[in-house]
Amino acid sequence: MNKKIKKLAFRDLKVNKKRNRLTMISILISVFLISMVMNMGVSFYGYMLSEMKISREEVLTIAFGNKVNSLNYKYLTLYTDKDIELVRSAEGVKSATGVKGFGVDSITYDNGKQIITSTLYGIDKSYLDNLGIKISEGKMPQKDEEVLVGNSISKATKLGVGDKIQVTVSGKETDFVISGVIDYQEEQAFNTVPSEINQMIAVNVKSKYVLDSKYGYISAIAKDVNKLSETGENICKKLNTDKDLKNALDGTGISPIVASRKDVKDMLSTWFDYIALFIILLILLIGTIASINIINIFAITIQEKHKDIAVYKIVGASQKQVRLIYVLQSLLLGVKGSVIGTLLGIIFSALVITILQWKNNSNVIIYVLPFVIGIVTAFLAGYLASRKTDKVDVNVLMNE
Amino acid sequence: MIKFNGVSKFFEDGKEKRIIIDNSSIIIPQNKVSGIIGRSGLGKSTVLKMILGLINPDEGTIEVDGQVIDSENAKSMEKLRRVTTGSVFQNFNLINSLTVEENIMLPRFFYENGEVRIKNLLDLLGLPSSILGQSVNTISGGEKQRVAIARALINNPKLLLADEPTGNLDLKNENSVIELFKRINKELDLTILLVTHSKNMALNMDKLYTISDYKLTETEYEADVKVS
Ligand SMILES: Nc1ncnc2c1ncn2[C@@H]1O[C@H](COP(=O)(O)OP(=O)(O)O)[C@@H](O)[C@H]1O
Ligand SMILES: [Mg+2]
Repeated sequence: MNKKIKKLAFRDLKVNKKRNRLTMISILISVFLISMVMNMGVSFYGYMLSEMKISREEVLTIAFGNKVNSLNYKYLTLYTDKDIELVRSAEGVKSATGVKGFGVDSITYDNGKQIITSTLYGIDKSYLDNLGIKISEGKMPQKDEEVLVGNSISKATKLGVGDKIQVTVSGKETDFVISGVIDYQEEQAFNTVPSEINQMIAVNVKSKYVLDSKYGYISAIAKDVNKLSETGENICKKLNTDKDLKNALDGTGISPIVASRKDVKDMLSTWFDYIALFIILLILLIGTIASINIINIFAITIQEKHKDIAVYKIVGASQKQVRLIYVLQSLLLGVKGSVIGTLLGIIFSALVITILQWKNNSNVIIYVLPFVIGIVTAFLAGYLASRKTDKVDVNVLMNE
Repeated sequence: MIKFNGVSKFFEDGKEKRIIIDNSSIIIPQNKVSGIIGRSGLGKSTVLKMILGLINPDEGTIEVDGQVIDSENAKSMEKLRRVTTGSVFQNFNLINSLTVEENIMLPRFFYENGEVRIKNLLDLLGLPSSILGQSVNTISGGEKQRVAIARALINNPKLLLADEPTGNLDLKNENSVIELFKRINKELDLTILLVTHSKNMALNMDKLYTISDYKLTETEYEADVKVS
């Protein structure tokens, strides 16, 4: 029997070709939008996660700043050897190393060529280890006059290991020899590696040129990646016992803070919670608009066809059968629109993802869900609209 | 076949209660061609609506083939329309998007009662089988009426109800439709109840009923029938 009702439904669809095609297209567009949003959202999320992945999670950066946003930290040269010891003694800390810093004006090379650069660091090997940075050429500076340079500097000056370089620090010129070059391939948007690392000039932390300087920040390694927050709190507690530090910071609103990849992760997941919520709301909105559209169009169709519906009833159609005629119509439009919309969504989002160089992170669920949403929406809307057939009064056939 | 027991029907007309049928009891016999005649607005269609369970009487009961009619009982009314009644209307009420054959077969889209005898029906109704594939928009008024009758008969009902079946036809066509109803009655052993304001039609009934002074009663003589 349902086969025949299907026939009735499909015949009806053909009668109102234009209107039904528009309904189908509205479902198609809705499903397409949902598919785009989902595919792109998921790929964006995957892209962000992969951006974060390369950083070493257990690295803690102890600098200065406002407690509210630990990602917004500053390097003030205020930490002393005593503070490094305090950090090392904090519970959960495996190792700690300080990084000294000087202002640098420029460097001179090749008899007079000059480039402006930023900071002269005083580092030790563990600093590089903590950040997962390797020396691509040469070795760590050992002597006072040896420097390690970032690959940007090496490239700009075309200088390598063994070459001479003159650094002007606060107007004072000093000759150094390059002992090594570091090459940090920054493949990620979010990490705890300073972005200027490739422009860095670094002497050994024990070099006489940074002897008078205090540490700008401390880089520590936590024992347990899952306890980064606690370890950070322990470190702050320890550092707060340093009276000199406290006096220096008194009234500035600045205090020692510990930043880790976890903060980045937390920030990102907060973003993504919002984005996911937004996407869900968007899908609901699109679904609602599509439903309202389908319900309205079918309401008009049912109004127009109320005489036919009265005939169905007088010749013995049950309430369910009459509803089924319209549910089937809506479903058919839903299936058509959902198939095309989903396919277009997958193709277009893949295209956009490729252009943006994100990683396609979609899976079967992301592919299929918009299709399912489209069909379920069409079914529900069709069902809601079909209930209007209950109200069609058979008496119209005799009211002439 | 059809029993009216003290049936009354009123309509609310604004604030006033208008009587249409008042405390009427009739019996419409089986296997006869019966007619209800009266001028427009007397309540003939209202009587048919009550028989078909589209509206309920305000007082009294109606039985059709032993089944008490209650328009509120959807299941029971569905059964009535599936197996007991076939209906024909003044406006034919065919479905334009369907072919002639599909229109005739429409009741069987929803329920199949007994054998399909479409060939017999076409012969009986004097329709050529070539008409089956045609769109209903391309056939004449007389043919439409026959197609509507074929649709009413396709599920082998016991009772054929027709509301002004010749209302949209000329005299020549009306006469042939009257003949048709008589033939159907004979060949299919079917009870037929027609509603009409056509005197010509009324003259040809086995049994005739009128509505006068809000009473639905049987009329013995054709001469009594006043039609305007
Ligand atoms: N649903 C209704 N509400 C109020 N009055 C109605 C309703 N249906 C019919 N009537 C009135 O009842 C009277 C009889 O109607 P009807 O049975 O259609 O007459 P007939 O078929 O004999 O021409 C008419 O005056 C009509 O206006
Ligand atoms: Mg009438």
